[in-house]
Amino acid sequence: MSEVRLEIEGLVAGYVRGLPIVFDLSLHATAGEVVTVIGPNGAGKSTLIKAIAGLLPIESGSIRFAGRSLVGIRADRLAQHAVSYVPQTANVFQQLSVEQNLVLSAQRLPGERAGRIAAMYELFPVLADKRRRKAGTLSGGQRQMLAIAMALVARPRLVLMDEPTAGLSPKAAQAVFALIRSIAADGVCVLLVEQNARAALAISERAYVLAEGRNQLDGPAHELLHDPVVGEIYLGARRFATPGADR
Amino acid sequence: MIQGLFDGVLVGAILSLGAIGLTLVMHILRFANFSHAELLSLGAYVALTLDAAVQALVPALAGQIGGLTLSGTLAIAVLAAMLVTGLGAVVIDQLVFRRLRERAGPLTMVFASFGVALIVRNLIALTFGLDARHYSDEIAFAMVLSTDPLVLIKPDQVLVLGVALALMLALHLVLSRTPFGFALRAVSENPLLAQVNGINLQRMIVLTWVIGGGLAAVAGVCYGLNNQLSPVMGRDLVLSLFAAAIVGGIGSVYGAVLGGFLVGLASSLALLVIPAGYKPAIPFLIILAALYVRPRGLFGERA
Repeated sequence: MSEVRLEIEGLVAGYVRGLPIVFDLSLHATAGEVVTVIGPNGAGKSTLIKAIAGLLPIESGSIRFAGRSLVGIRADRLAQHAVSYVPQTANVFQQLSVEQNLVLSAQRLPGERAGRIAAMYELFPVLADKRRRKAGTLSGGQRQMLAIAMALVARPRLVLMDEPTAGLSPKAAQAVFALIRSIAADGVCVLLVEQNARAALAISERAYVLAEGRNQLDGPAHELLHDPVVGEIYLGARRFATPGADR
Repeated sequence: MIQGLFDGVLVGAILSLGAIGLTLVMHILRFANFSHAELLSLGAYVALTLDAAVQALVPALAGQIGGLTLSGTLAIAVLAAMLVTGLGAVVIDQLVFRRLRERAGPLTMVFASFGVALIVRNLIALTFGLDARHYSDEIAFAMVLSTDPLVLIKPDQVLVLGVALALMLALHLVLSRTPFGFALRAVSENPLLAQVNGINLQRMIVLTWVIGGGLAAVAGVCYGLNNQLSPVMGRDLVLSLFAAAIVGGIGSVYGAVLGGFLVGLASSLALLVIPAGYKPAIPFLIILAALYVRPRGLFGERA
C-alpha cells in the first residue's frame, strides 16, 4: 500500500503559460488518507486540482501517483491512471438522465460496467429511485451524490474534489463529508479543496494551507484546526483585526 | 392548401436534416457556421458524380426503381456521398476552423465560415458549371392523390420524406440509447466535464462533423431530387437552415427537426397569401419572430 501515493514536488502551473498561479508547490497524500487544501480565495487551490487532473499546462515540477507521472496526461485519460476528478460546479450532465450520466462515466473503464453502476445504486439508493430523471431536476445534495458516484464508478484510487459542499445545506454537506470519510476508508486517496475549512479539517488526516499559490503551512489536520494563526486567518476565529487578512 | 401542407412537410424534412448538423456543430464548436449549407451542395454534387461512376462500373444497377427518379446507382452513390461529405467537413475543419479555434475568437470563425462557403460554392461552380443539373433526365410523373382539391405527389417526394424521417429516427435512437449518443450530448452540454469523464474531445469534434456532413449530403440529394442541383443551392438554403436551428434552439436536435418542419410549412403556406417573390423573406421573419418571442428557441437550454 505504501506505493499508492500522490507526490507533488515543486509544481508550477497556471491557466496560461508564463503566468503561473501555483508556484513551487509540494504535497503528498497516501491511500486511505483525506488530505485537505485550504486557503483564501485566489490562493490557487482549484488551480492545483485542475493541474493534477491534466486540465492545465504544467510549467515545471512533478506529479506522480502510484509510481507513474501524471504530468502532461490528457484529462480524458485520467481513469487509466485510476484518478477521478469532481469539479466544483456543473459536475453532472443536466440534460442526461441519472442513469445516462452513470453509463457515460462508467464507459471510461473497460469491463463489467453494469456491476459497477449497480454498486453505485447500492451506495446511493436515492439515485436508483431517480435513475430515469434528468440530472438537472435533482436537488443540490442529490446532484453532488451523482457527481461523486460518477467519480467512483471508474474505481479510482485517487479522487480529487473541488469544494464538494459548496452551496449545499448543512445537512447535505454533512452527508458529503461522511461519504468522503467512507471513500477513504476503502483505501482511496482523497484530495479535497474546501472553503468550509473547519468542517473539512475535522474529517481530514492532514492539511495544507495555501496562500498566493505557495505552501504556507502543513501538518496533521487536528493541529491546524487548533493552530492560532490558521484559526485567525482561515477559520474565522479572529481575536484582533489584522489588516489585509480578513479574506 | 393540402398541396401546400404536403410541400411544406417535404421541404421541412429536407431542412430538418440540414439543420440537425448545423445545430450540432454550432453548439459543440460554439460558432455560427455559415458554410454548413454548402455541405448540402457538396453532398448533392458528389452523389451526382459518384452516380455516373457507379453507372459506368455496374450498368445493371442504372435502372430506375419503381416510379422513382432514384436508381440503384444513385442509392449507392448517396451512401458514398454521405461519407465523402462527412470527411470533407472534417478536412475543412482541420484546414480552417481547427487552427482558428486555437487562437481566434468566435467572430473570426464566423467570418472564416463565410469564406469557406464562398470557396466551396465557387469550386462546385467551376467544376460542374453554373447550369442546373438533374439526377435523371427522365420525367417523373406525379401521382394524383385527389382531383378536388388537386393534390399531386411524386413518388420521389414520398421517398425523400421516408428517408428523412428514417434518418431522424435513427439519430434519435443513437442519442437516447447509446453511450456514443450520451457522449455527444455530454460534449455539447459541458465539454470540460465530458473530458474528465473520459471523452476524447478531438474525436467527438471529428464525429460531429462526419454526422453533420453525412446528414447534409442526404439533405442535398433530397433537395436535388425534389428540385434541381445548382451551385447556389447552399446560398438559397442557408437562411432557412439557420431559421430552423434558431427556432428549435441551438444545440437541440429535436428542436432542429421541429424548426425545419416549421420553416418548411411556413414558407410553403405563405405562398397562399403572399406573392412568390417574397418567399425568401419568410425565414428572416421566422428568425425575427423567434428571437423576439423566445430567444433561446423552442427547446433551447439556457437564455
